[in-house]
Order: sequence, then structure tokens, then C-alpha cells
Amino acid sequence: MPKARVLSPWIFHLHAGGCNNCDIELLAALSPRFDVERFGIRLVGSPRHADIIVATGPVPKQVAPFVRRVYEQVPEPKVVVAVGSCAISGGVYNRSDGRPSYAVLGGVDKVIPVDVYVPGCPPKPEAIIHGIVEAIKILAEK
Amino acid sequence: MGKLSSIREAFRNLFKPVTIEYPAGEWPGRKYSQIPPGLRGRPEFDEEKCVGCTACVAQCSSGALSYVDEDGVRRVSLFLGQCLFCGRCEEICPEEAVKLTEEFELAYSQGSEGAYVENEVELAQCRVCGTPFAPVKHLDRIRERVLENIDPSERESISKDMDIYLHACPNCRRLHSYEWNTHVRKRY
Repeated sequence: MPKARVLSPWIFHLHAGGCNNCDIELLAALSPRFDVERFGIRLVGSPRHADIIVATGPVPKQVAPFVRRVYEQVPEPKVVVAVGSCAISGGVYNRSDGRPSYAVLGGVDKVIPVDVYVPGCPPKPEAIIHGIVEAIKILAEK
Repeated sequence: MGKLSSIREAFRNLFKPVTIEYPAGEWPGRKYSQIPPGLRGRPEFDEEKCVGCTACVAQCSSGALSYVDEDGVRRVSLFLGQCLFCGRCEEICPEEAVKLTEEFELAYSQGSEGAYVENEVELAQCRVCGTPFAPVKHLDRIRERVLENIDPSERESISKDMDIYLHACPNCRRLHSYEWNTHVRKRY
């Protein structure tokens, strides 16, 4: 594992459905107020440049193949962080009996392997930073 | 003017940075300045107070709370990955046993046990047929509540009836209600 990758992981924001709330919190986490660049974290526009995928949303069935494609485009070693209740279990997009609705798969880990889960609806920006720092620890071991 | 005010802002940020300290920065009064009062974080059960009535399970809007009765124990568990942190369980809990703490760093990795908050309550066995049917503490609380709120003139006879039927399962109550003479109809 090159040291530079651990000291400066670049993240790719993968929006897989969802209500935009986790995405707003993620953008807040990248702002100067929380200043994640001190960990070397940078948002990149292409999955081909990324080390960490930050995925939000319950993965609607239409989006699932694209989630898979984005995951395959990220070079090894890679770590996936699922942010928010939707990305973990389907959250509010579940039916009352707890199973996902007919339109969504209910969780990013149904499509791609996930390493770190960040619960919250939405999680605080600090919680997201904490989750990404956990992901960096996993990235260092890979 | 626009340029002047931006220069002023740049100078202000030189002396008072906009970045807040995280993790574990010291701020006047608080360790984390970012925790606003009333923040809804990880819910926790008070093991002493919880009676296992599962009012929270019925109230949970996202289906994160669930319970199972097995091996004489009722296990109430909350899956954080589905919780909305809405606080309805805290609101509804009659014993004030569920509390939403200020803990927000909940990230857990694959295969770790950080995903669940659990509580176990002992189940009482039916004194007739021996099947576990309701938590011991819950039955005690029902008795306390009923005797507290009932008319004082009825208190003694109802207390006697409760000795007979309270620790029997619903099915045994139905079967023996005539023979035990515990039906409320006798009071009217």
C-alpha cells in the first residue's frame, strides 16, 4: 500500500437514489467548516481517480447496474462507505414489514461489497468524517 | 465594495478561523462545540427501568426496533442501520427507559457488532401451564399501576383477584376464568 494513498485518500460521491439529505451533509463535511483536507481527503469527479466510494441512497433497481459499473471503475485497492440508513438497509424506503419497497433494492451492500457503515438519518458531518477515517484504516490494511 | 468586504472577510478569517475543531477540540464549556442541545444520537435502554412492554416496538416508525421471545427471555433489539433517530421510542416509553444519547460517532465496519442496541428482560412463566408469556417486571408494573389508580374501596378485592389471575397466561385465564371467579362482570 503506497503511503501517499493512505495520507491522501480521494473520495468519489456516489448518489444512488435517496432524498439528498445525506448528500447535503456530505457536502457540508467537505466544506472549510469541517476541513477534511487536513486528512488529505478530496472530492473527485471521476471514479477512476478515487480510492474511497461514499455511497448514499437505497439503490433503486434502475440505478443498480450503474452502481456496479462505478464500483468496477475504481482502481484497486478501494473501500466503500455506506452513508445513511437508506444505504445500509433501505431506511424510510422500506415497507411497514421491514422489507424494501418494489422499486428499491434496499442497501448498497446488495450490489457492491461495503466496508464501513455510517448510520444516521442523515448522519452529522462529523459522523461522516468519522466513518471516512475508519475507512482509511481499512484502506491502509488492504 | 464587493472586493473590500471580501478582503475584510479574508482578514477576519486569519485571526478567527471558520474551521471548528474536530475530533476532540477544546471549546469553551464543551469538548465538542458541535453537539447542539437535544441532539438525537444513539438510543440506549436503561436495563433497570425497562420492563419489556414493547411499546417502543409498536411505535417505531421505521421498523428498526423488534423483539423475540426465546429461552425464557424477551430480547428487544434496535438496528441502528434502519433507525431514523426520530425519538418516538423515547417519547412513548411509559417507564422512561429509552433515552437518545448524544453519541453520534456510530460508524461500524463490516462484521462488527456495533450495529445493534439490545436489551434483555426475563419472562414470567404461567403458573398453570408453565409457558413463558410476559416479562416479570411488566406484570409487577401492571399490578402497581392498577392498584394505584383504582377506587380505594375496590383495592383489596382486586388485589386478591390479581393474585389469582395475573401470573397465568391469557389462554389459561380464559379457560379458568369461570372457576376462579375473576371476571370483571361480578362487580357490576
